[in-house]
Amino acid sequence: MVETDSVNFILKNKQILKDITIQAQNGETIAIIGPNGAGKTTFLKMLRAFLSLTSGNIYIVNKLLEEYDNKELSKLIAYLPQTTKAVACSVEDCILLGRKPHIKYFPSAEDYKKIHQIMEELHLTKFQGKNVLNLSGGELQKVLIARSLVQESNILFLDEPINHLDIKNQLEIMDVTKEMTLQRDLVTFIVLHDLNLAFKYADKILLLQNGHNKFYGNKENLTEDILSNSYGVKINLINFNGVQKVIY
Amino acid sequence: MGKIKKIVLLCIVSISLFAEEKSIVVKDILDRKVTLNKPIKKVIALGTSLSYVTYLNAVDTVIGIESIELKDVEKRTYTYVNKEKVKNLPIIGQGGKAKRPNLEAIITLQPDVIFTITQDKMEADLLSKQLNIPVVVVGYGRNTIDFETVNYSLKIMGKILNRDERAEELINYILQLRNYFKKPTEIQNAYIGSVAYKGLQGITSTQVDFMPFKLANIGNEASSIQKSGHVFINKEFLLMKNPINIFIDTAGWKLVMDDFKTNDEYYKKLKAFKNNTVYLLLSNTFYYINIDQMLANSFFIAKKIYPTLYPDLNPVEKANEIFNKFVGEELYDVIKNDTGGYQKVYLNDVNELVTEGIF
Amino acid sequence: MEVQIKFWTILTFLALFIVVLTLKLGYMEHSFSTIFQTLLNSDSNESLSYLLWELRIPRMLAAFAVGAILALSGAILQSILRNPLASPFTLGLSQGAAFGASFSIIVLGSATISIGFFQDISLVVVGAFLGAIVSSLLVLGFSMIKNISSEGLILAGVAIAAFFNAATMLLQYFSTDNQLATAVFWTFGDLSKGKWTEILLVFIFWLGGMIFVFIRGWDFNTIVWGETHAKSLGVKIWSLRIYALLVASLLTAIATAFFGIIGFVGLIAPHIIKLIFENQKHHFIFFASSILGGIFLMAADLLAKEILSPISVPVGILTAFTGVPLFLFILIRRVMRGRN
Repeated sequence: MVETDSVNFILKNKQILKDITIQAQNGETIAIIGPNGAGKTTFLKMLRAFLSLTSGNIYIVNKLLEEYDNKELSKLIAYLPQTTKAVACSVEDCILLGRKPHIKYFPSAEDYKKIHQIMEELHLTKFQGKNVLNLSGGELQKVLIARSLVQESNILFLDEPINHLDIKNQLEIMDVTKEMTLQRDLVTFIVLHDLNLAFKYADKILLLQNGHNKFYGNKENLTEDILSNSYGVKINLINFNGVQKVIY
Repeated sequence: MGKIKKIVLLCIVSISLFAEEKSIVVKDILDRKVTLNKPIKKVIALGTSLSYVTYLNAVDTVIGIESIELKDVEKRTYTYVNKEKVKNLPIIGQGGKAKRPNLEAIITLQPDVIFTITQDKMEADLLSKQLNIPVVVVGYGRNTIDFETVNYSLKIMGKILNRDERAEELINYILQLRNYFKKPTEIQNAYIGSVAYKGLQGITSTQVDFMPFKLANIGNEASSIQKSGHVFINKEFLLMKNPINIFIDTAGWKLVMDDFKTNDEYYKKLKAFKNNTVYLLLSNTFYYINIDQMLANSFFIAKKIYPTLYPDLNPVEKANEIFNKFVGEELYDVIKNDTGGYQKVYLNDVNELVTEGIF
Repeated sequence: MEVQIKFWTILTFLALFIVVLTLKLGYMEHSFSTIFQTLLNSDSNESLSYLLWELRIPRMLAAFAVGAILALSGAILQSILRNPLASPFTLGLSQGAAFGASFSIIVLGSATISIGFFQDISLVVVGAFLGAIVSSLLVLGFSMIKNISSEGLILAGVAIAAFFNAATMLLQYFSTDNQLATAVFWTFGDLSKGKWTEILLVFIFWLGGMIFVFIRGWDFNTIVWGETHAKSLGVKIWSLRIYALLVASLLTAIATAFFGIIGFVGLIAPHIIKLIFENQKHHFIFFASSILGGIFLMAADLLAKEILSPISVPVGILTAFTGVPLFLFILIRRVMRGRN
């Protein structure tokens, strides 16, 4: 469970985030959307305690964020940053890093079991033994998602996880994420640029513009007008075969 | 029975007496207690302690040398006289300050003692430990010549090399030389330039406690700066002091000449250059201190500054006497051929700096 | 796996080759059988036995120990700072040691002191050790500045190195001829300057370093992915950085204090390992770098002894001359592979 209450963030006299109040339950997928510079990544970083808020409160599983130390948070939250500069290592070892919050000195047989399990679930077994540097962008992202999932956290924060991927990979990753969210009862926040994907996969949507919370709630309640105002372009919503489509 | 007992007793006593003779203990100049087993037949001399071995007439005990002893042989009297004797000896290292010798080479040659000149007690101890051979440290003085150190070095090396008489002879001779100099009624000052220091230097390199000046009772122009040691003076200082007498170490003469090419105005302002009272001395230092040349220089300087005090003194003859005493050959001409010997410096008609041999 | 087998086999053969040559080559030539016999039975040839056991073997072991410890230090620094240029030299640790040694030689007159149980400790050793520690504390101080990046830390290291260089030069300018020569020669590094005690100490410190990196191995594996990734996986970045810098400094300090400055080993060995092995975890990288560094320095020292025999070339010069082309070769290969 993730909750924020009037979160403000001011950096160098500039208000980056203003009065963000949201609530998310287990099993929910929340898409964070909005124009560039809206503060999406900043917000996610705040939730993960990588930035200190100026005012307001953040609650993770009913406890104030400040009361957790980083190690505890790394067990509760799996955070995948926007950019990853891949490092030479085997796929297996890379995913194994996801177990780091739970490892004292050396990984156990249990840990290895979990790695292989997640690799099977995400169809990554064929990459076993390969160097991460030799994977394509999409394949690497999947490996990183696997790493995040093997962390066995209750909360998943993904910052623009599908940006440079082709359609097939995008859908694959979103499918896996959604499935895992439901299966494991996670709270999942995903920063997305693709509005269609947002509408397809998310339960709730947080629309930020200039640090302001323009909309937070079930995606059904998000109107064309609010979208158009926030993005500054004419956006239309069309219902197509029961699925909400975004046209612009 | 009684007779045999007596003979046996006699044997034991003589053996034990002989055994007493078999080892000696010396304290070297770094206060290290060194035990050596006599007889000392094989010697290795590092750090140009070969000079002392040569002065003590014990070069035939040397079984290996540093390659530095084969270089620039005319620049040092002891290397010159050793030329033929040591050129076929095995090389046991490079030599030169702070460089370690080849340990294996020394061990293979199995010397009875190793002499060295160093300030580093740790290094001497380490060397001795690694080679399992006694190391005796001698020297000429910490940073400049110190006659107490010289005498002590001669004494202990004389004892070790069985040259006690020769050591005594040299010690007395040096004392004799030191006592030769008379005290003038009025002390004159002089300046010494081009003192070697971390390499060859120009005219601004001087030694505040320059031994030849001290021996000959001459005041040092640079003594107002500090009490002892080497110093690089400001060119202006020399101009201000404008000494009548300037002595220059031959080793750095070329640098002075080069400087003159670009700064001739400066030198023309100096009294001594105008007056023709600039003289070149034999090299006081080359790699290490040249004690005999330094002593010889004292006489030349004394003669030039206080000519009336020493009417019968011929510096070249005296130099040769000193060389003969130390290394057994009169080497002034050899030195003169190599670097010019004692020379006068003056400006000629076309204002070039010229040297002229005096003797 | 295959690469591993090949690597260790080649390395073992190389090591044996160097050991054999080190035992055989020297001032005098002896046959293999003589040497072998003398090693087994010292009475058969006392002087050769002394030569082997008191000179050649200690020096060879010193080379291995120093090479291993410097390689480990370099590997730790490169990992923790995520910078391939990090090494004891580029962070000013060696320069700090040089300053400490010069200070002892020139200001304190390189005497000896006795501290309790330890008799006759060279002030030069103490000075070099303290100098390295002081410079590492400076690096540490910089590393604690909030949000300083790895690049920033390398720059700080370069500045610290420059500072100590200048301070050393100042000392040397006012030194006497003899002191200058001693101080300068100290910086060349000399593996004959120590005996069993020093070698043992270096080994012990190396062992301590290996224990540290093994325990924190997975932290290192994580931190190379970047600070955000590492933080999100719960790694205590600051504490790891501080401990790692401290350990790397101690490793460098002990080797440099006894044997002088020997460069490039800490830089090159980890690079070669990372070049040959792409996927390896840091546990392996640290260990393999150490072994490679040790063998590399053994080879360099052997060359240093023999190339101009009986005159010995300072080993630091040889590591530079062999190290730099090797380094450039690695660099070029990396660039070429990057292109493909």
